[in-house]
Amino acid sequence: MTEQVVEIPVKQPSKSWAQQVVSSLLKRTSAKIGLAWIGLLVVIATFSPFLASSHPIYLVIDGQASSPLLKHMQALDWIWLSGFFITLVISAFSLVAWKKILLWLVSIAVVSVIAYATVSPPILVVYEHYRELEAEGKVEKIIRAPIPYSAKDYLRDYADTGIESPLSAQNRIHLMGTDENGADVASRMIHASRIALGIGFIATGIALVIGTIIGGLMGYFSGIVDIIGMRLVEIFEAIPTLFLLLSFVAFFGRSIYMMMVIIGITAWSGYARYVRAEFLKLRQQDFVQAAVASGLPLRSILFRHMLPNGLAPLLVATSFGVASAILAEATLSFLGLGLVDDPSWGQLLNQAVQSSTFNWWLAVFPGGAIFMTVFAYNLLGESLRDAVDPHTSRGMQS
Amino acid sequence: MKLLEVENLVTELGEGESWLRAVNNISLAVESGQTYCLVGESGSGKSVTALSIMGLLPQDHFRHPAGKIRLSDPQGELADVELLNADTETLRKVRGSRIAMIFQEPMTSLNPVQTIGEQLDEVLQIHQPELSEEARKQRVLAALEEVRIPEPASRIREFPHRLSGGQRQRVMIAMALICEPALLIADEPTTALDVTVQAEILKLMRELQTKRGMGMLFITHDFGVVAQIADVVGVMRKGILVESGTTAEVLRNPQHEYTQSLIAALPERLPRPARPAKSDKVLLEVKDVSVYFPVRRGLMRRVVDQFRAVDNVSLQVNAGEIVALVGESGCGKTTLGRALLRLQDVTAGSIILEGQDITQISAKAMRPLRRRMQVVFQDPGSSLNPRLPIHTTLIEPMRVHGIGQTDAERIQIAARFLDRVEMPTDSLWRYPHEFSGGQRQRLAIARALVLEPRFILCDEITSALDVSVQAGILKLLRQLVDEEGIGMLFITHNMGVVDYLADRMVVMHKAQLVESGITQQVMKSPQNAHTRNLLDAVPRLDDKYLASAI
Repeated sequence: MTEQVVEIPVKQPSKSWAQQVVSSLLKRTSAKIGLAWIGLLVVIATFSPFLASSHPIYLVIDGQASSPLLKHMQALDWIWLSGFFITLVISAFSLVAWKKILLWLVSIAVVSVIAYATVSPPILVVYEHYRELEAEGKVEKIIRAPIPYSAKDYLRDYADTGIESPLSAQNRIHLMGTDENGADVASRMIHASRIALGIGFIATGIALVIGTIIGGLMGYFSGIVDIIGMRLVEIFEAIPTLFLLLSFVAFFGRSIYMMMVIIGITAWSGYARYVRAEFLKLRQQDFVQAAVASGLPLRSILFRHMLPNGLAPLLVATSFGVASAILAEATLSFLGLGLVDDPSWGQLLNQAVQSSTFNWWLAVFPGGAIFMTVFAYNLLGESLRDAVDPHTSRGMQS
Repeated sequence: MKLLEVENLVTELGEGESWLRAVNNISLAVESGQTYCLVGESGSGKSVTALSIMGLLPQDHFRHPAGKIRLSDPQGELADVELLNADTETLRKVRGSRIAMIFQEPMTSLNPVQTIGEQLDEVLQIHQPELSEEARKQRVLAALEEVRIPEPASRIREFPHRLSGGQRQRVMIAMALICEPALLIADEPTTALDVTVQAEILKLMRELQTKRGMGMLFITHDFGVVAQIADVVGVMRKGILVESGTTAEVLRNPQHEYTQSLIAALPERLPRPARPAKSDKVLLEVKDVSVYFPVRRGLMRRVVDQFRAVDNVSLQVNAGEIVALVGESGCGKTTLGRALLRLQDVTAGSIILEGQDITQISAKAMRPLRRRMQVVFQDPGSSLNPRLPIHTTLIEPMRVHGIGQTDAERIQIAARFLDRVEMPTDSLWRYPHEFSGGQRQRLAIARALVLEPRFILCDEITSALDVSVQAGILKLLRQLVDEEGIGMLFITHNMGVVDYLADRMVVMHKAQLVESGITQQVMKSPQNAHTRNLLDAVPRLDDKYLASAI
């Protein structure tokens, strides 16, 4: 070897693949629309207690200032809030993607533990209390949320409340009307956005993790592993998700978390198929063979050399999966088998046809929100497919 | 008698505001009974020229700012046609009946769900509707007979997947010629075929052309093919026709410097520096290696037969020596290469690396030995991980094998090897898609070199590259072997490359080793009939050939 000193130019790496995909994604109008709607939902979900609550944000009674809203905030509200800010902080760091995800998961876990251990809002909530105090003139100063009704505030103090169309009530403002219990629809929709987002992400996340691991092993080892794995996939594909959900609801009662898990563990088979097909193809690629020939460990071959190259169809399938999980929950709630008291878009939609008249506001607003969310995810999925496809992205560059 | 005249053709590709001039002011003429060969490297615009003539460019993505393409009838019975910017109806009438075209890839140019008889019949139905069904069948049989498909009567009911690549290309030729066109355009029709098959197809095309007095526009990148088939040759570079003339003239006495450099870059014409003395140290020894693939059938997937990919092959590679492994596609040479590296399990036999038997050792025990034997693959498009920058690709194996203490040191080492393969050191921070095919192959060689291997397997690493790029890589490989004392097994089908590079050569045919020996001796007096076939199939444009033939 000729010994010579080579100057290493100090140079930043040119754009990585992920950066290329993101920048090409952001060039597309459809992706912008989809991202904007999902971003809006995230903001609404995070700040939902501040956007719609019967508890005043700031209250002065007898010279004593207090914030009933903060006092009544649930552990989950705090987790959402801190999760939002943790995400903002972490994304500002320059770290490797998997470290960021790990850091995020760890901080969320820590925050959850702290929140459930320390936050204990009063169990008995009397929403009418503040309005009564106000009517009695005891309140010196009050700042209310933009929509001054909680999701479960059934306005009992107004006596004969029930289903009311938007802006039809006197001395109250319900922008989107009320539902059959007299609760404000706008408020319920705001609070339900968490379920819409959560079910999409958690159910799809579970499906994605199971699918990637099983599919990856099937694709890389093939042979007998592949045969067993494919039979497993076929078994799971034969299970009708909705029917399984119905039976679980019948036996174990209604829990949103159970729904998320069931949707997750029945939906992984599609992802497993995608990953398997990609890995089967990639295994024969020269660069994977070269990695094997260089004596790299299996972990590096699978996760550094194969997975990033087989991610494209998975990313696309995920965005469609999120949409279908939201629809599954909405379907279940529409059938009357969803959550009882907690708000959900599907449940509101269900009420549109239950009374003798057709309550258009209960169909239009929740239905529109479901439509927009599913549409946004599909738009995003579609643009993501184009962005990761080298042929179209090359076309965009030239 | 001029059949096709192209005058000042300009073709621009693109859309909207961005247009790329792919063909710039080309004039050529093809006469009946004559073959005009367009030669050039990839991206020179030779295929675009052919597609412009046929009017087959993608709709709305091309324009012709200038030029004329006139198709005349040598018999004078049919009117002359201006093909450039002609309407679809005119083009449709001309295509197939007066001009026919053959494409490069025989595997995909036939419709897989129709029998070859149906596909040939359809051409006749469209262009000669006056023929009866019986007459059409006779024509189809005659056409297949003409291209020497054995037993055409039974073959017309076969689907394309039952035919080999060479036979498919014969069917394509039959389909192109069935309406007796006056002009045949062939776009690299033999590039995807083996050399011996290529020789047969070229001979067939030549014969059919003389028989019918047809004009032919033949596109190729291979000067060997030019020497075999062309009467007139035009050399293209970046859309410009730099030189044209009769084949003998251009090949013997090229005027333009680009043609000169192309011919000089042919492996058989590269200058050969003196080699250092060879060592006798045996580096890699392969003893009676066989690789069988089980053929499974039925519900229980019982093994009913063995497919013998490599059958009882023995060879050895010394340090500082290049051994060429030659054979046609499907002869098992790549499988043998993969078996040597333990990327493929061996059925029988033993592989001995520097005195150590590595045939049966576990994958885990193999891992530290991997740095002693490295590989460079054929396809520059897939040989580097597209998601990783070059420095990660180079440094990761070093880290695994404990070369260098810190990443900074490893980057120094990587930079030194990049310099060695004549790549700029700032390539470290770039991604594979930013490099051309030849550069990627250099990077793949660098990846193999950073582990300081004793043995490198090169699997057809230059077959996807242009000749001038190939020449650079070949020179580099020779230097590396001579200076570092690496042993190399070079898998190829190109005899020119073998002649330039290899000290010894081994020939494989149908999974078996048929001949081995010193390259010069085997080239001069091949003992095996199959080796002779291989050698005869490719004309090498060495001085002897130029002096005698054409």
